[in-house]
Amino acid sequence: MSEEPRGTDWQKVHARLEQARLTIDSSGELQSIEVVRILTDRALALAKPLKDSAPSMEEMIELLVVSIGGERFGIETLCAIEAISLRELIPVPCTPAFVLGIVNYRGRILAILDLRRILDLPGEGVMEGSKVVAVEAGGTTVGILVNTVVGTISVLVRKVAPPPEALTGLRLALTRGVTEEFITVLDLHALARAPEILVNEEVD
Amino acid sequence: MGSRTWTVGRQIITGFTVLLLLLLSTAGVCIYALIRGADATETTLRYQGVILKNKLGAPGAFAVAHVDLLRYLVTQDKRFLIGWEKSAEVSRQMIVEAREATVLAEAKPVWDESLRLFNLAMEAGKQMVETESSGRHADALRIHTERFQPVRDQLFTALERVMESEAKFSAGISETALREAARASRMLMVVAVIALVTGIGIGWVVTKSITNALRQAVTALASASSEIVAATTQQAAGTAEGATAVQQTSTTLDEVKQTAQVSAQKARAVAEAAEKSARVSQEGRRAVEESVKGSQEAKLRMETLAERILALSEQAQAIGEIIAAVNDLAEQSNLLAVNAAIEAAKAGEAGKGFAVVAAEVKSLAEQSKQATARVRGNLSEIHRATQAAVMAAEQGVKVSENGEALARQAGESIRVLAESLTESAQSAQQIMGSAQQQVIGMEQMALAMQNIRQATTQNMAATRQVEDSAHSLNELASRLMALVAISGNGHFPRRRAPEPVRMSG
Repeated sequence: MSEEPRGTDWQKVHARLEQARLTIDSSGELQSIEVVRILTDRALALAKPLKDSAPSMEEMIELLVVSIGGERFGIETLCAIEAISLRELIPVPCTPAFVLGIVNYRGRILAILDLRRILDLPGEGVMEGSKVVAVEAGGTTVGILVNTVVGTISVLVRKVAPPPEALTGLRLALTRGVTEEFITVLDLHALARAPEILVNEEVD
Repeated sequence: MGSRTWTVGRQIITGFTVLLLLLLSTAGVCIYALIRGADATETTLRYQGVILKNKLGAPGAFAVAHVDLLRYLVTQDKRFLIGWEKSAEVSRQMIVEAREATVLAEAKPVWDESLRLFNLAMEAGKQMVETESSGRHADALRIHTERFQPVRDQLFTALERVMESEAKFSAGISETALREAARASRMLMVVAVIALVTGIGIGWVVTKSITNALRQAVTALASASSEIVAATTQQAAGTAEGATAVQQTSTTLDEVKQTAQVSAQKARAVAEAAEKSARVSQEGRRAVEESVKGSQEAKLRMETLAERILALSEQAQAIGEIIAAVNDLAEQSNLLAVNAAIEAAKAGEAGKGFAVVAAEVKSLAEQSKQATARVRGNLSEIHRATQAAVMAAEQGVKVSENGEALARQAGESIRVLAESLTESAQSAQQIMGSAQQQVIGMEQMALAMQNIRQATTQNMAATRQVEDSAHSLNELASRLMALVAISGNGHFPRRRAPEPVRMSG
């Protein structure tokens, strides 16, 4: 019946099956020891004294790191409101190409901007798993389409380098600086002030 | 004579017959002549003897009788009378004899006259005796003088006369006999000459014809004997070859016999093996039937296995859906953690602990995402494995079907094989029987070969005898040639045959 030239070691097969069954059965609920270990680790982690006690004297900046078109950008956490999943995007006619559309965000209308268009980045716009980060800058609340939300980091302000001189135009205007990890820190206030993104289309 | 169609024997017989006839005729002539001559001589001699005896004796006896008579007359002695009568009787008998003997016609009356005169003389004598006995001597004398004396003279005269004629006649007879003898001798000479000539002629002809025939016969005999020698030589060689061939054939027969025995043994072994094979083939057919059943069972199991694997695949699909939900949850958790971190950052110094929790939650969410990614990878692997397993099961089903078909074919093949094995077992038994018969036949053939060998040996001996006889015949031909002096040296050139091949056995 078996096509293999050698005979199958059915005992071994049975043993493997048993092992798999045990694994599946045990994976459903963690064993009590495991649970205790995790909880202990977590408690220990929480009980640690804050390590940034020394550098707390210096000026820190909290960044929400996102990935857009293969590049990582940092958004000031104070400007960020919330990261949400992109759902029910409604395209809006008579808008520039960087305006992807609008979504319902907690009962308010939130315009979704595509920074790739503004910053001339490669890649597609809306993709599977794309997220929206709602930001508030200059009294305006907009949603920025991002590929992924990486997380939050804290960096020293003095470690943020000024934008490279090679940058020009809107990219230079929107860049506040570059961290050691080559995360471009966006200047959302400049974005809000930029005349290019003001929507003032008139439709006859 | 000399005809070609006549055989030699006939010629010889004819020639000898002719010669014999000639000899017989010659002898007849001789005998005739001799008989004639002898007759004549005997007649003459006897005649002359008789005549002479009587001619001389009769007067003598008569004279003696006369003397005795005279003596009686003188003496009167009676004894003289006896002499007288005796002598007178002798004389008379002589006369009668002569008269009887004479063949001369003219002599007969003379002899009659003589007898008459003798009788007269005897009467006179008797008268004289009577007279004398009566004592009248003088009368007796007178009678003697007067009667007896003249009669006696006449008798003598007559006898003389008849003697003369008889003598003349006798001389004539002698002369005739001489003439006859001369004629006979002439005739004999003529016949002898004829016989000689004829004999020489016949001899020449017969010799010539015999010599010719003999020459041809001897030539033929010589060539025939030479051919016989050659033929017997060839025959001897052939017989020797035949003997060798017979020996080789005997050896071959032995080998064939052994081969036949081996064949019989092999055939027996084949028959036994075929029976064993038939049993084995029955077991094989049962095994094939079980194999067919097993194949069908395996096919069923395979199909069940494929269905189970499909069910597993569907369950894996369900797991995938669950995993997608889990992934979504992780995503949301991640976002929640990020939002929590944002809020914590907004809270400033007060939200620092919360930020740690948020980071921890985010880490968990990330781990969940990684786990779901791993599960997804496992699921796709499971899917591929399921596909492979289903295909393998399908192939297994096909293989089972093929195996079933092959098993059925194998069963059919085994059945055909069993039939052919049975046939070969029967054939092997037949071969066994025929091989045994062959062995028997080989033994008979070996016996026959032995007989043939003996016959060949005898044949060779006979051939040698024939060869010797042919040599003898050739020598005989040479001798015959010498005998008839055909060749110059009398030796017939014989065709010498090569020495015949002598057989080793």
